[in-house]
Amino acid sequence: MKLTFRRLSLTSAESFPMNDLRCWILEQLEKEGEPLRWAITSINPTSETSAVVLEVEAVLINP
Amino acid sequence: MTFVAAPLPTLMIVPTGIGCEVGGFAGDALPSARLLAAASGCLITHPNVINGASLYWRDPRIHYVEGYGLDRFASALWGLRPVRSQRIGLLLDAGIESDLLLRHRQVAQGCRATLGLDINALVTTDAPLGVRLCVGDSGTSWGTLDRPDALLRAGERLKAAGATAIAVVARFPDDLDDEVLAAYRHGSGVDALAGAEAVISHLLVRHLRIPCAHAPALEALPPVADLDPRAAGEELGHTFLACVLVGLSRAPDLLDLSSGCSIAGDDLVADRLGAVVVPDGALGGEAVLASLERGVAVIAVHNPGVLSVSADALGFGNQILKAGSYAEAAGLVTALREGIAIASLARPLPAMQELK
Repeated sequence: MKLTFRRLSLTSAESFPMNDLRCWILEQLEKEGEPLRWAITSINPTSETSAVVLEVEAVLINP
Repeated sequence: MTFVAAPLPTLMIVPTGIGCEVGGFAGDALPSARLLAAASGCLITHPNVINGASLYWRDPRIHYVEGYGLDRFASALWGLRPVRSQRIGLLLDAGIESDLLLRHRQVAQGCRATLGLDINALVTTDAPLGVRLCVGDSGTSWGTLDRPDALLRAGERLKAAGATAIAVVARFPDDLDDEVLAAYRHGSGVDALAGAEAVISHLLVRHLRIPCAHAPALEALPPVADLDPRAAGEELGHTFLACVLVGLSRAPDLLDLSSGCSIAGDDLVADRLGAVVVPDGALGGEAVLASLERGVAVIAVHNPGVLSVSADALGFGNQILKAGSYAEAAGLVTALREGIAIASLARPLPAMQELK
């Protein structure tokens, strides 16, 4: 087992339902490892669309 | 006749390692937690809020739940079952030097003799854990371990020996950045240790599914005259362990709701959660997002830290109640508990929606 600290920039789809945000972030993190502890640390609008860029910091577990 | 409204289970979160003015230091959110416990009659919170190193406060209305369990509770995956007492196992990092180790063993003995806590066993890991500290671009403190396997093996041994909760003490690096440490002791900046502490306890709770909490082992610092009062709890003694042992001694059991276990009347589950109280820039954590999904009232309190993940940034501006202080948040919790419409407390009254 290995623990790694990661920072990911995740761009949401346009008109993304914020009520699905947690599950969507977990899906994105699980591509990199098992999320042990994570949080959104900033949210920035994209310049041309209604999508947002989420900065997520996380500690992930990898085999 | 005295009328007392039924308790309103309320979750209080001050995320670890984000430098909040209230709760970013040595258990300095504890007065606010006590106030919210009085307002709600039932407060669920995590070690970062109420661990004051040598200082602690026990209130039967406050439920001590480590962050990994708290996230699963808010996500309706786990429930909480209040207990009369836990049998605590003490897990010590092999990287702790003998004198410092002795101090920690003596804290455990003192808590048995003076407080009557049930601490049944201790174990030292079979390899030093190798705690590594880091800071994210956001300014939040994080950390990892070189040997998570050694941590989990030691936890398994304690659980097998009958421990129903685990206090873990890991050796933390003494060579903190001087400026960071000085800022913290003078009441600004982020607790550089906190993020790694949370990772250690998260890992144990995930693996063992019993209450766990962490205290760092560090060499004592030379005294400073102008120490910020919020950091003082950490400089009164030789260890940070006493508050962890007290917190764990009555921490609720963790129920895996997917196992089909029955829910008793006193059990706490997410469906019974009435409110969440969280700093207004720290809404991007798993427990808060899960609570928003479930339509739980979220109260965002002005409590500056390094993050600015606000209700407006998340697009939840209309869904979240705002409070200027924890005293105001306690008023909102009281209103929710008593069934008083929050809108009735403001002037002018907002217009009623007229349906066509």
